[in-house]
Amino acid sequence: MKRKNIVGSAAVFAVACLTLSGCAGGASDSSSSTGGAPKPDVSCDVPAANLDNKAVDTSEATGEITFMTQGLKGTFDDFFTAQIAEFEAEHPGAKINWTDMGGDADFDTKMVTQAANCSMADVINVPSSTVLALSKANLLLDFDTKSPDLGETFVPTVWDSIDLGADGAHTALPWYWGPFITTYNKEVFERAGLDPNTPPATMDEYFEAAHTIADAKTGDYAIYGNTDWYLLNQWRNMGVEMMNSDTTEFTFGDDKQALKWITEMAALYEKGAIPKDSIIGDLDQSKAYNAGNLAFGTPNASFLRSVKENNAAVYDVTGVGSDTVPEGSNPLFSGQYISVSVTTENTPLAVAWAEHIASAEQELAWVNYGIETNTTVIFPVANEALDNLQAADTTSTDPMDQARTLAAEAATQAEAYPADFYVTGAVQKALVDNVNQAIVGQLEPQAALDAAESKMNTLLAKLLAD
Amino acid sequence: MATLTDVKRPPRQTERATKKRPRTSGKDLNGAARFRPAWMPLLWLLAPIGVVAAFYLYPFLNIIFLSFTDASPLSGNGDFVGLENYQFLANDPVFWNAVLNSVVYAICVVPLMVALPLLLAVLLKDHIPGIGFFRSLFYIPAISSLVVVSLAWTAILKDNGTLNTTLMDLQLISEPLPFLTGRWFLLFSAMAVTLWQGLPYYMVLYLAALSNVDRSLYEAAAVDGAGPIRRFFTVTVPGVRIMMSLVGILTMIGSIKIFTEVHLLSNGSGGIGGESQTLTMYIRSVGLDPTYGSLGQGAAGSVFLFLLTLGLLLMSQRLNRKAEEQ
Repeated sequence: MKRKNIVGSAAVFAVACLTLSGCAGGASDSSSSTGGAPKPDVSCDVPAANLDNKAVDTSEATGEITFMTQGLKGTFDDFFTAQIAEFEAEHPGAKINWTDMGGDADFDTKMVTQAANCSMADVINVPSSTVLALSKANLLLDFDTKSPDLGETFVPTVWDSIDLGADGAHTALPWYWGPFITTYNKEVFERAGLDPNTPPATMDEYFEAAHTIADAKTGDYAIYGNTDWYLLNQWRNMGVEMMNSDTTEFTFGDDKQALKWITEMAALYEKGAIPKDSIIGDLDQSKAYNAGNLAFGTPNASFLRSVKENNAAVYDVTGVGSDTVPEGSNPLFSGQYISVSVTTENTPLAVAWAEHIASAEQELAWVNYGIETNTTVIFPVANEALDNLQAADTTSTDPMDQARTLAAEAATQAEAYPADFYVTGAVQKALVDNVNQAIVGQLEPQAALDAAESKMNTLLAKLLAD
Repeated sequence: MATLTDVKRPPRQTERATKKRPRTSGKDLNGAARFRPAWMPLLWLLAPIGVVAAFYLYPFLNIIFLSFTDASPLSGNGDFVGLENYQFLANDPVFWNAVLNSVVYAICVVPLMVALPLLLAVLLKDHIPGIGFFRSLFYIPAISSLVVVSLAWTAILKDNGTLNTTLMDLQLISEPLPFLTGRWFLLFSAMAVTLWQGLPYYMVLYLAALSNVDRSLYEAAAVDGAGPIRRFFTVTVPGVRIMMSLVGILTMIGSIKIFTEVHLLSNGSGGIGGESQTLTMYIRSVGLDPTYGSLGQGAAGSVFLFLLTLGLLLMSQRLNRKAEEQ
């Protein structure tokens, strides 16, 4: 009997350990503001100088810091190694250790775990999906205080939108981005009887073209089902009011245009214009596009590089067009940012490096590196860099060149979209889950909008209450 | 009147009393005797106890503590909120859907994972020429990365994948089956991956158990006229019953915690509308989302998962015991 009890207790303990121990979160004591910026709720010490109201003197930037990027190592090693060497030469005694975290789906979670454990790099490359979380937790340095006037470097509409820190402080420097464009397969257009040289200019034309391709019954697909990446942009292009002006509530539930988007997608799915399993397919639709029977590709110029490398024949028949931005509206900026961890022990060097890497000169150098090495099509957010972009060859028929020309035009007019920071994680999942159920016919479109809006507002209210 | 026990005991007690263990200095001791102090075993235990306490016990207790707080991934421990997180789970239909998916997963996988590897082991237990090659071949799935395995299965199971194409070529179906998008199809596809990968691992365990079954029992059964099926149920199964019980327990714990297979086959979505999401996927999504996550709710989900696993485990043990009694 006694042995049975021991075995039973051991089993309970084993089950407990196996089921519970993997999920322990970081623990830390709550703490209060010490004046200046609020102190984050972390277990490690936060240097008082990072929270006070004084600017950082970057003239004596020495010592060692870590710089972490997202998915850049392996493609841009030469560029960053040269940048770091140049910076270190200009700042004797300074050392930058570059690390990179793969740009997978778990990036946000990993970064937040590092932040909670005080192991986040000194200078970090933050995607828009994480800026809000880190800013709300006061884990990013306030640039308004520590490096005043830095905002003048960047496109005003973008800079103004990233006041996500305490009391509207700017906690991130806009770094790079890739404007939305339209990419499509001219042969699929031709087979459906569409003009292969006239891509859709509006969302109405986009859906019209998709219906034409479906109705032609040529065996081609029109649209890839997983729209996580650009759903927000397409809704914006249709004029959907995603949130109220003070970003305290999602307001798309009664929006006729949002309803129209879902209704159109559901009709196209029903017609077979969308590959059925692509609704929850790989976020990267290049594999599907490379098969040569999908009309619309990923709306991003860098996507073309993958097509070029994997299926030159499809690349040759790929057309590009401007994004379906309506008259009177500006292209959406959704990019990458540079931030400094508030727990850094070497603030002067961290701020100096952040200023350096996000400066107009360096942003432009990187863009040009992408052009010269044909590795990517990215654009800067610094005013001076945008003014000095290399003139693209407007006569070229190469899709990458054409995409670069169109993206460059969009880059100079772009503006940030506050909803871009809020439609992430669980909120994005609530939206996508409901929308997808409506597309496949499991939910009525209006019911899906109502359910998504309700769930998203619950989550948002909790975030704002915290 | 002295009993036999009483008679035997005094000399041992006397011996123990006279042979007192040397305490420390050990000047007149050699070799291992130097390390005989009574507290020495406890010292050796300190390291493993420390590891268990730090990496199992503390996280376990911390999870229980967090489940009563409003902690979020970036806000430290949060404040005490009583049973609020449990109330949230109780009222969340997504949570109950995830529980249902996990339970169905376990109910389907456990019996198959207990039975199929045993059958395979019975087939491979005999020492015939070349059997080692086949045993190694069957073991390959167990040493393959689950990520790679899941990606390979995705290619097989997608609408235009090998399986659907074959079924359509054979005119068994007129349109692709939604192996990756249908709610139950996705779960059954994930079960297939779990079984395919786990089967060889448990087969090896059964092979070890089978080698301990007395061969004379098979011979006796054969002499009594028992055929292969009868011998399987009357000799093999009782001979490996303990191993079957162990496989059942391990599979139960693994199945109820299922995450990777469903996550990878659905590209992290948990199926259309998240309908095939399992309990661990739910816990991850509510607990670890950087912006909107609630560690408290995630922890409450983990505690529920623990109780669910424990409940199922106790239930299966009771069923086992009843079967043994019968």
